[in-house]
Amino acid sequence: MNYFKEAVDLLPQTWQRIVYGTRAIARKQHVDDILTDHVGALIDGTHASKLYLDRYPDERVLASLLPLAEHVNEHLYPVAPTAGFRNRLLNDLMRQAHAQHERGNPSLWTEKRKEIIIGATITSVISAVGVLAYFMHILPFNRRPTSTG
Amino acid sequence: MTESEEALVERAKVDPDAFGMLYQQYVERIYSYIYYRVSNHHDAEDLTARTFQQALKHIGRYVNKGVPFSAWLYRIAHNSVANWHRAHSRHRFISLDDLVMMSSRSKSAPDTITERNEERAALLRAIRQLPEDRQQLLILKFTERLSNREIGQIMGRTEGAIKSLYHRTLLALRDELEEEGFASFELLHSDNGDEPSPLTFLAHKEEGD
Repeated sequence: MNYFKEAVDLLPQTWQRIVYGTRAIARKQHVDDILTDHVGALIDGTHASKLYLDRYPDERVLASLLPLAEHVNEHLYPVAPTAGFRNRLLNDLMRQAHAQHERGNPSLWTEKRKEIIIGATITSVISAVGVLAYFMHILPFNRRPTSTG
Repeated sequence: MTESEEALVERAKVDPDAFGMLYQQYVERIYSYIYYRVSNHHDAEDLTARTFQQALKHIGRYVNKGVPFSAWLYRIAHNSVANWHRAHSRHRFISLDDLVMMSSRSKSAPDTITERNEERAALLRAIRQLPEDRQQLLILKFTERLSNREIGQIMGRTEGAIKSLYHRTLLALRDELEEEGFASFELLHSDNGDEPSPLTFLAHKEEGD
């Protein structure tokens, strides 16, 4: 009876936690959406942080995250390799590609020969041990002598 | 994947010139991605070369499963970088000099350049402290300018998961920067009242105190 009473007492608290948890999840997803919209605008070249902050004044976390996203956008930009490196690598790759083409594309057997052989050996050994164990189990010399009376 | 790219990839399996075209199309993006993960030109060049050599070796077995060819390349690049980090895990010090020096290309006044270099160095140090998947997300998002869907295809996650990861990444990055000594970020209005200045990166905590 006491257990029942305790369970009933816990109900409002549990319900509150469920509601609070659901709200927290919904709110987090809402912020996820705003941040995604914002970074999309940043990538398109629009600095609209102020606009987003005005639109969602209740989401206080945005006040630090939106300017941070702008800061990251300002400092992370694409970096190009040197022309010398690009050309050198292209020439190397073309040479390798022609050699590979002349040899023909390597088959799975050529590339993974070692792994295939090791796998097959292990499988064969396990099978042999299994067969041996089976025969030892069924052959007469392994049986206990039975009394003939 | 567009049809023409799909056809190009199929041709690249037997035609070296087609592979060369794919290389020309993607080398800058892959290099940039790797560069931000390893922080120096020398290793970025080495790993970019390895990525394309692996791609060439295995392109015969590439099967289009509905994700862009670039996602396949990024995954090879990601694995090369992960191996590189494992091999260099005993020597964790990574110079950021190259990365920071890049921002001095601008034609601003020397003081401004120095200030921007410091900001950039702090940011890159903070990014480097983040878990690998968060670093990857920031690079793909901000330097490669990919959508959540494309990033999801590369990282093997759903679009919703990427959205959520981006939120958590910004929170973690903010905390890292605060630990570095930067107080906070704040939007300020410009004095002339035309438009808000995009961003003011507040001074170090000790200066603000």
